[in-house]
Amino acid sequence: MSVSEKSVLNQKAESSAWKPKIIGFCCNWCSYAGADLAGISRFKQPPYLRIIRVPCSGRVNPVYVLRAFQKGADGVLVAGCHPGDCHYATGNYFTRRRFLIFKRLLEYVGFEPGRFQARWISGAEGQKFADNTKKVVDDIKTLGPNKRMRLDSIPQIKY
Amino acid sequence: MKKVIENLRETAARLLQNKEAEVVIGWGLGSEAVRTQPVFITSPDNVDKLVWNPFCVNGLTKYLSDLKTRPGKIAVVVKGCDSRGIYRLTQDNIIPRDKVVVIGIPCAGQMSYTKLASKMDVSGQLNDVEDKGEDLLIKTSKGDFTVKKSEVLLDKCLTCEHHNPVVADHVVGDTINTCPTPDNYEEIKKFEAMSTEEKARFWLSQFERCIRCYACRNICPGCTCRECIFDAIKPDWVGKEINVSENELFHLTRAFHLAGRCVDCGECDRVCPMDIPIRLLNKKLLKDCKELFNMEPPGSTEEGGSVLGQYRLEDPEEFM
Amino acid sequence: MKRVGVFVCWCGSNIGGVVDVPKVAEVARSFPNVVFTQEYKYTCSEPGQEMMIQAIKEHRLERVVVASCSPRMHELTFRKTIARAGLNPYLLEMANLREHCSWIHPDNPEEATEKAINLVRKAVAKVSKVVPLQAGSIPITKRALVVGGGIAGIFAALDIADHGHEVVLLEKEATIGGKMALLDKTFPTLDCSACICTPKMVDAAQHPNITIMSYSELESVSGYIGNFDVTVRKKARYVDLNKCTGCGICETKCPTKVISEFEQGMGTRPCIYKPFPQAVPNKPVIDPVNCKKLRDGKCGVCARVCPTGAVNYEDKDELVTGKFGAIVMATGFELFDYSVYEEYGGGRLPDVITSMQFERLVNASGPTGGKIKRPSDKKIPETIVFVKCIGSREEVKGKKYCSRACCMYTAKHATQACEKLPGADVYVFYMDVRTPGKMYDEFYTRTTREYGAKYIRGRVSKIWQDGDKLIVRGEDTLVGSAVEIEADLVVLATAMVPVKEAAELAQKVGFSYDRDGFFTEAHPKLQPVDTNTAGIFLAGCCQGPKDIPDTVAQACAAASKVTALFSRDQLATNPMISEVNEDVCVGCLLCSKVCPYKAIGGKEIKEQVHGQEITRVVANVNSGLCQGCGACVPECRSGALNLKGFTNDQLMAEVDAACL
Repeated sequence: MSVSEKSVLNQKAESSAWKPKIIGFCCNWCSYAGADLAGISRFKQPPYLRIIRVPCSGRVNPVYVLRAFQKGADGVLVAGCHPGDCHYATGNYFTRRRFLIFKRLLEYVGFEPGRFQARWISGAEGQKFADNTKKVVDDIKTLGPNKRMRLDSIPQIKY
Repeated sequence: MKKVIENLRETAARLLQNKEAEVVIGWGLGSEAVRTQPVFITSPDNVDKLVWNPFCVNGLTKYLSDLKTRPGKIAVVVKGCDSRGIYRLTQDNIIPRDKVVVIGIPCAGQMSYTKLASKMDVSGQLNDVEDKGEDLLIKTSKGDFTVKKSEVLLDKCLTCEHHNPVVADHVVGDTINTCPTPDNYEEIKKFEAMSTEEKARFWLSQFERCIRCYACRNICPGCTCRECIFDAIKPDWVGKEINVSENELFHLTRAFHLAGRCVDCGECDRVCPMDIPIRLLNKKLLKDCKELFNMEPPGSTEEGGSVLGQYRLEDPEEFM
Repeated sequence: MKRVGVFVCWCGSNIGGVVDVPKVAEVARSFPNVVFTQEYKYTCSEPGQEMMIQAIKEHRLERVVVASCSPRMHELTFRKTIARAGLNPYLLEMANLREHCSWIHPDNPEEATEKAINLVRKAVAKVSKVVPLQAGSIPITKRALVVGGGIAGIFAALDIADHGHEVVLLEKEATIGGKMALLDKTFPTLDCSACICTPKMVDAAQHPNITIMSYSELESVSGYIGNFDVTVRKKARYVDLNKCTGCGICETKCPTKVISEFEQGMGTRPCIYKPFPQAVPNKPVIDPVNCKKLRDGKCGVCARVCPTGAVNYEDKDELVTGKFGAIVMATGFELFDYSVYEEYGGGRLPDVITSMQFERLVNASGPTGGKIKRPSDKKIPETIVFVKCIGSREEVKGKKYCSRACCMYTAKHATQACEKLPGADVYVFYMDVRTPGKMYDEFYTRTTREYGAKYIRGRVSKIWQDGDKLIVRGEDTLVGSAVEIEADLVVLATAMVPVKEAAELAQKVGFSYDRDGFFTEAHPKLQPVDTNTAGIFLAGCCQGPKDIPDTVAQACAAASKVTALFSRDQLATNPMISEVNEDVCVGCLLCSKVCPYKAIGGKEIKEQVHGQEITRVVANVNSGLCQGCGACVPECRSGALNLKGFTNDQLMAEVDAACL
């Protein structure tokens, strides 16, 4: 077996073993409750979304998104109440502005569209939560592992 | 130009004489012919150190943040682009407006040191500059040089929203009536049109070179925190190691902190020792804030704040 | 280093049937700071909680992770459990292994276990960073302010006062009573509105705990739940309420007559007047705009005839301040201005009137003594056309929403017209007939079947004057043809809209309102009378159009919210709120701009810099107002602001662990 064949095989083995790691920031009152409802309703989902609970999507600092990519996340989701339904009246309107801008900035510097996503999912939308999880996982699977910003695979800087 | 300098010196002298300001921050002659440097004049006897010429590229407003605890008022000389920094500082409560005396100078454009250095010997001392219409006659101790203005103009001056300062307590020099040429973001559109791979390649090659000197932050009138998160140890917002990942975190976060607040003075870009095109990040944010939220150029009016600290019910919706 | 204990729950087979619980517990033992792990069938059960308490004591645990169901289910339970073991209740973190794991990955035990381990790792990382939090307490001033003296405000005030608390009932008009005092009869029982409303007005006036401040407006509000500082502008009445006996001589002698607002423009009143005979307080005010004495200094008749010398032309507005623990907003509604509809005459056809004008026309105390006469020539109409949804359910010039009460009051008006004018033709143009309410549909059925009002389903496209007739052109969509009716009187059921000053009031008091200006309830289902600002409650049409029964129900609900609040002397505050690191805060106050509760303000602090004392401004969080959303935190670029319980370092620790 030639070296190049081996490396192709290795790559294949690597990619079949790869499971996406997706970090989801969910607001306590809507999206986290929506995820709970998806559970209560037994809506099956791929096991790759790890949810961090925040009181309001407005609490999510975009720096956390970058940090997640640094630490090895393949995708990041921010989820909150629908505009107008925020438990705190207006918190998600700021979320909307922040992440409209932030998402564009990421894509501008060459992050693949889809690496970062934001969604409004209410506490009643268990089905939407489950469907969205599937979609995000599919999107990230299509994109493959994220290498951008990963601290454990920084290319050697040549001096 | 001579008249402007005379006027400037007279104004500075009067302010200091009458105790209307304790210090005047302006430009003085620099180490080379086409450079100037910031000068801090505290006595009417020293106002002759103040100059005005097409090489006054430095923005001086950030010094207000450093000197804000000084007793008395501070006078600062500003061009149109710098003047937006005044409103940045007052809107951010960094310094009260009545603590600042703004001396505004209408400006037709400043010349790039780098561009000049490729066309002439810049190592002498400046004797005089004459505006010859399309050309500039630069008389230095190393000889006289004629350069075409359009060839040495700073890039940022090609598009200029405010030739005249947006705020000034004293204006020296004649109002410039040429139509402002706001940026239509052609350059940003070009970058946006690149493929994801091309974008990544371009930006990673930029971030990779960053030495994290933080000069871009230090010059910025929007970066006025008492403790910057990039210096903080706890929590460790950003790793202190210099590598492409931490550098990218720094650049994207710095840019985002200025989103909706950047007054687009372009100083970050100019001061970067590694020539990282930082302004391309700021411009992208300006463009998006304008397109998505109808943002006026930050700092162009007294009232304002951060466009990301506001909302409208009918903001664009993409997350449904 | 903190000693962390991890308790992994089987939840019967709910978790344990999918996730390898013993493995999760075993792996968790290797996580940093973890000194103890335990698995149990039902951690939330009494024995489960006892085991946890024992373990905390025995192993000197300082932080606890419970890996079980959703924290939305049992966080409070386990906080209480660890508090029983002597730990601060906030030193707890939960890993959601049920809703977010076993229940959604039943076919994949291996990966579910892997994920469960990660969720526990994340919880351990966070709990290692949490600190004890203490709930604070704020005193409660047991005194309520009710803004608006309509039927909603009156009921709210009476209920609160009956519980033994002081109430100030604020009313901008010269009398309380609001819109209900204008009405003739009320649906579906057709009992006299005045007969049930005016006794309640008198009850309010005579209640020892109620102070009515009529002819007064809200000037400013500051403070927070339990402690609102309110300034009220008492408008100049020009009549000394202490001296005036309400005898009414002044009203009869006043030489200047102007259009009466109370009679909806269909009658006159003097310039010193009570809005209506049963007004409360039953004492007049002078209309400063039209009074000759106040305008040009000529006249002064009322002062001359007043037997008690109560008239005072020098009277001035007065600002009065007070402290309140709760505020009930009951500012009501007004009618949509239908003059935007040129097709209906733009308000210029004298015999096209609003339903509120019709109320006055059928009212025995109204300008016609209860006889239905049309305004232009006082002729008794033979054909009356009612048109519903004027400005309601119409997006172009009107409002998107349904005004809810119009279907029923139009049925009432049609019934009254049929009753009072036997033989008259009564038509009603409608889009839908909405009659949800006890006895409502029965009433509507009677209107059509017994009284013979003719309902036509369709919109009216145009109304114009033709001689002494009004031509109403519309469409009967059930028949599918155009209709034209020659009418003598047309009554428009105009939409209910919030009072003009609603948005300004909401901003003044500090809560949110919708695009139409109606005040927004904190939750449309579960908190229908709360606002998003603690201590401020809503009653009646200021929150949205409604009829009298719903208004009264809501008023009583708001009152019970207030009395529940007043049942305690102190209010425990949520400790998970924002806090400011003053050393780092630069005082830009960008955080204050995003706060939905106006909880962040600036505060001056003094500090020594190079031996010199300087004063600087820093952000200051009002713990009575902050609700803990944390939207301000990302706004702070330097990280000087933090949300307790969800701090930057806690969330970043979670991110780090979740990415492992």
